[in-house]
Amino acid sequence: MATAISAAGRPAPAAQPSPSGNGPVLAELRPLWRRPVSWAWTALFAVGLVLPFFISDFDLFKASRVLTVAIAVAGLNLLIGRAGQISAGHGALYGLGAYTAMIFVRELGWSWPLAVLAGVVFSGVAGWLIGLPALRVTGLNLGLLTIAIAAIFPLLLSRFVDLTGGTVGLQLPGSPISAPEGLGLTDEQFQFLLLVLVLTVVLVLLRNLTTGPFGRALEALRVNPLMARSEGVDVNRLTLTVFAISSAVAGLGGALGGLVLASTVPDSYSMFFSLTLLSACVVGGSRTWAGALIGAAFIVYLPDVISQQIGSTTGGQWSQLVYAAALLLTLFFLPTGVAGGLGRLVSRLAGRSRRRGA
Amino acid sequence: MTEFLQQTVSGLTTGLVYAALALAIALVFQGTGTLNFAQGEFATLAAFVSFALSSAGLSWWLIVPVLVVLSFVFGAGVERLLVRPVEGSGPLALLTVTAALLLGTNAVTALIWGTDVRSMPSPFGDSVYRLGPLTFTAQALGGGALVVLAMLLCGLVFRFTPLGLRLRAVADNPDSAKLLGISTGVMLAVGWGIAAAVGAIAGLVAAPTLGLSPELMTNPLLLALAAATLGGFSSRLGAVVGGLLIGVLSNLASRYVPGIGGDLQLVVPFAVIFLVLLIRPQGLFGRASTVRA
Repeated sequence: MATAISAAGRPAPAAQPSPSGNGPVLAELRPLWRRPVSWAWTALFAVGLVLPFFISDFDLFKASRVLTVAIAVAGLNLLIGRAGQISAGHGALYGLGAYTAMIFVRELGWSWPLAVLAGVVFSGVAGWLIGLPALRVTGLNLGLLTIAIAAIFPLLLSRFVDLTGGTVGLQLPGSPISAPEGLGLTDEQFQFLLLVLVLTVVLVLLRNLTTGPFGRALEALRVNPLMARSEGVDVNRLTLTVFAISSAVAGLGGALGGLVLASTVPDSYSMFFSLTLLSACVVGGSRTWAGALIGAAFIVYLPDVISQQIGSTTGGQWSQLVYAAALLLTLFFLPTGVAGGLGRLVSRLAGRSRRRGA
Repeated sequence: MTEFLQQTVSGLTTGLVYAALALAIALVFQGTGTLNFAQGEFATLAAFVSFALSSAGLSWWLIVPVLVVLSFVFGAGVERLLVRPVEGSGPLALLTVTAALLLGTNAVTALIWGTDVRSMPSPFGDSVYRLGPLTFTAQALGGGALVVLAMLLCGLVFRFTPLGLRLRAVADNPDSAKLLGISTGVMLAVGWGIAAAVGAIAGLVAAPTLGLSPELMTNPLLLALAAATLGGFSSRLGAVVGGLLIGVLSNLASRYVPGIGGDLQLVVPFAVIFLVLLIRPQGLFGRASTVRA
């Protein structure tokens, strides 16, 4: 994938005219207010803010699921698209975030923001631990370990009944993320708005992270680890850091997703969910942040569409087949994903109209 | 002691299935340089096909060769049609293709045959043999013999035929092989074909014991990946030895280590993968490769 993606039309972060890598740490944060946000994202954000007042709570609930999955896919984008590492187990890290948050709320009575934070920390630490043995030899080892984790995670959940509730999982009577009194919002509206904000913050932070010196180090790691090492990048530390960040972001999505749903079940975090997240990342476009949103919408809405068309008994299998087909077609014909392809189309059209205007 | 021996023997018989699957994974890895996550699903598909053929009244003497040929064609076809387009675009794209193949093959199997677990009659009958204090089922003996035969054949092809020589040349050094006039593309497809055929035998042997369902090879895949990690992905012999070790190890662990029973056997392959990667990433039989710029 590395070569396929580097051939994409998107300019590499290395081309940014930002200060050199040995600047102060503040240089990493500067793009936060210096780099403008494109009009498209601003418009999308505005739509996100008003959407809850136009669609039903049921539709909002579904849309909230898209947002929590999009957070996780954004984490996966950082890992796959930016660092060139693979994870076939982000579903397990998403699930770990969900279960951690759930246990902290349900058993320990923590407030939901702290429980979500706990989910983030647990997933991040788990990611760091998984990354440890993967540092040696090739990037395939990360694939090997993560698919093993994806396979074993639901089994562990079913086994440790005392903590996880076994195969029936953990449920809460209602979501702890409820609208504060006096705002006049329904719980679904509040949850959706909260998720819009969280996703926005995550995307801005990830973008800033990948445009500064850290981003250029990542780019070097992705293109050629050996070259990165010779340029003074601590490849091992960078790989671990990026895997931990990516896992923590997946855990954030999972924690919010689990609490919004007020239910966590082992079956939701199977190996197939992990591979579905991988499809979302690749199909959406692993090197664009919009891809996370497109990919998440794809994997959340597709099963619904298919069940409506052919009934729900085999709907799951047909969606799985479509994910597989979409994954293959994207890899063959649209290596930058749907978002990357759209972006190229838009810039080509824009370039043509500009030339015509001149 | 008898108990221990019996457990070891039954670990060896299940280990043979992991060994065959691990061998298939190693074959693909040596040629194409990727882990084939879908190798287990290919084996499951083959097991279902053999089930369908036997339901149609074919004799097992016919089913096995037919299955091997069909699997070979399937594996080679998948390589040519679906893997070839991303070859050369790095390990990530290749791995993602195999993940897609896993999702797709699993879905197709479930759509055709449903998700219920079926009992598949053993091709070798239900008789039980005794040797001293140990008992052997006909399924274990016959299945074991079949897997050993398949692996021996595979080894002989690689060791003593011109085709095997070419396959090894491509695995060792694709660029030099190409310069010698070997068609690397054809060899890669043949490698996938042989891998699918060996995997099909593993599926056929595993199904009567584990119960035929689309999930048949999900756990064996993990055990086989651990086996190949332990033995070293670059060694065919290593994969086989690793499979046997993993089979015995997980069987003994589930019997003697409290808490590791049933599904949780999977902790064993996971621990093996984790430790081997930490301590000796090239595996027991693998060669450590030096990276040069």
